[in-house]
Amino acid sequence: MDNSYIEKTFIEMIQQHERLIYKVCSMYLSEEFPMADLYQEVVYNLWKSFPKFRNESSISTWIYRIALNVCITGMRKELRRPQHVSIVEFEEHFIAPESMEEELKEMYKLIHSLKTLERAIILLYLEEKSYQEIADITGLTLNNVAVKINRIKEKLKKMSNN
Amino acid sequence: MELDELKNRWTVLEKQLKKNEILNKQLVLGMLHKKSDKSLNRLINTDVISIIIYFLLIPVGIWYYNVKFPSMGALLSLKIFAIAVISVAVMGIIWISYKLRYLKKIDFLKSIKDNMYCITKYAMMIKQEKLASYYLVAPVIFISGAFVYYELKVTLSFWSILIVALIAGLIISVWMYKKIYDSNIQSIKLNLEELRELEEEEEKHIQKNG
Repeated sequence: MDNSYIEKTFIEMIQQHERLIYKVCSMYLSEEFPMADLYQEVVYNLWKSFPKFRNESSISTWIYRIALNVCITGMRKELRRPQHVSIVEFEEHFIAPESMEEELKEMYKLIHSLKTLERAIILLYLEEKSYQEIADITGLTLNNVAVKINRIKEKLKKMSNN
Repeated sequence: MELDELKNRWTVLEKQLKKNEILNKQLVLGMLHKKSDKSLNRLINTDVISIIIYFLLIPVGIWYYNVKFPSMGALLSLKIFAIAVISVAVMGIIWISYKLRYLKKIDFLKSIKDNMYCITKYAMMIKQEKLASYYLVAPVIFISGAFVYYELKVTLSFWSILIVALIAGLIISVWMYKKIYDSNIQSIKLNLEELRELEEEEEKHIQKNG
């Protein structure tokens, strides 16, 4: 398969799943790791792993897995190094959560107060993934997923009561 | 806010994002350039570190040059060694600064042709540098060092240290050229080739569709 074909297929796949990547990144963005940096890092890592993708899982499961992995572990390593690429147009295009409607801002504020792994689970839950899919993506056991979702529910209730 | 409410708001977000699809080919490609940027930065960093090392070698050379010895032969050999070290350091700084000019010209947001020219030129300079290091610099430093040892009539253990240092130096430089220079240059070239292919395909597509 020639390179330009792979690249073309990859770009199409990214375009189809751009919202998914955005949503994962939005869970982990911060002042230190702005959306553009996280997004680029995820796309770059997807590109690196793309030749190894064997259709053993669905494409969205694969993207979730890599994107979450980059956002969670990458935040600790790679992203701490200064980035040298600035794609101005890219930064301009994304809706920054700060400029979103009040109710969405509030939602993100609440999500960001959860722990790193909890954020991943709540994202997948909100994306209507089954417990089994959440377990597959996060690498947790089914029981663990169920327990964690219950805990998150309680946590959210507590937070809203406060 | 409970989970159901969170879900409602998530649906609002989903709708907003759908209205706002923004990724085009150029943006995705821009993200992929990062790969080349990393390789480029690795090359630049290695060259900058080499310049710093060469700068540090100059005072070492000066110190050797000023060392006093009663034996005329030893004094002369030390001075030759010091001059060799200082010359290698100065030439190294000039050479690397010259090489760096080409790396600094590379900008992945600009023309592929210009970037290809710069990286090819840089690759050629690395080839010349390799030859000079193996056939000129290493022998000059080794022979002048050996001359000092000979004049100082050092013991066998000192000679073995010198030989081990030479072998280690050669192994490190072969590793550096292979792992740092050759592989990063290759990675940049491959990425530029990919982009060129993509551009050519796009041009063909535009021509076909009028």
